[in-house]
Amino acid sequence: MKLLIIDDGIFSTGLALVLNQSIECDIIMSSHKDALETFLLEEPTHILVCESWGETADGKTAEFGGITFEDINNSAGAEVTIRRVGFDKENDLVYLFEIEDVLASLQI
Amino acid sequence: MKNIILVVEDKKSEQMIAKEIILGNGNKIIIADALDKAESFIEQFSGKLSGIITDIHFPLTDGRSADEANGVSVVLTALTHNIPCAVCTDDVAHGKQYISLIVERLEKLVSQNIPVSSSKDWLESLQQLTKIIEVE
Repeated sequence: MKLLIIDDGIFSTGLALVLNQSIECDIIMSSHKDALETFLLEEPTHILVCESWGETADGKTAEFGGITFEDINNSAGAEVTIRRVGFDKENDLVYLFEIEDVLASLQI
Repeated sequence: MKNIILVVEDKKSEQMIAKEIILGNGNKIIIADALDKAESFIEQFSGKLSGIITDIHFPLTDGRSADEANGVSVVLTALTHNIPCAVCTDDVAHGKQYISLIVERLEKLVSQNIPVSSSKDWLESLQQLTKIIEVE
């Protein structure tokens, strides 16, 4: 199992440490900007796309998680498990603070 | 090493067909649904993209109408970056064959093969593109 965690913040580092203690897998991390390239090169089997709000090049606030999810979902075959995680239980997100839910969402 | 193919297509149903064929033939795929996204991907993945298959009529940017022949811009950008490119369109649906004529003229101008599938045949486009990639 090779898990890619996509996040622009420090949170993914903590999440990676916690997941590393819970499951046996190779964990790689990427920013949202480099996510598609990392996916194509590293060929992970599982992906967590952490929701993220940030500033675009033209100074507008934008939600990066959804765009990243869409791009990777477009490129990934059915054998890859992709889950969006965030701080909202709505919109098909897995609640980030419930680590068991995150693990369950990865079907581990 | 697997080829990375950029597909530029705005219709979800066609994206799904293209994805199945491209992944099914052992390639990797990136999908753009508008010209701005396609150009952004070409810049970001320049040097890593093996080839491009583009539709002709799709929006300039997400959410706009698909009236413009923006695929011609993708072909020109591909030529500029020296990336093999094929066109997968449906001339019959658009009621005219002017796209084939434009691409034929471009081919002569740059002495580079730009295959056109006028019947929206993704497999045909992939096979023709793969031949060009293998030669290069």
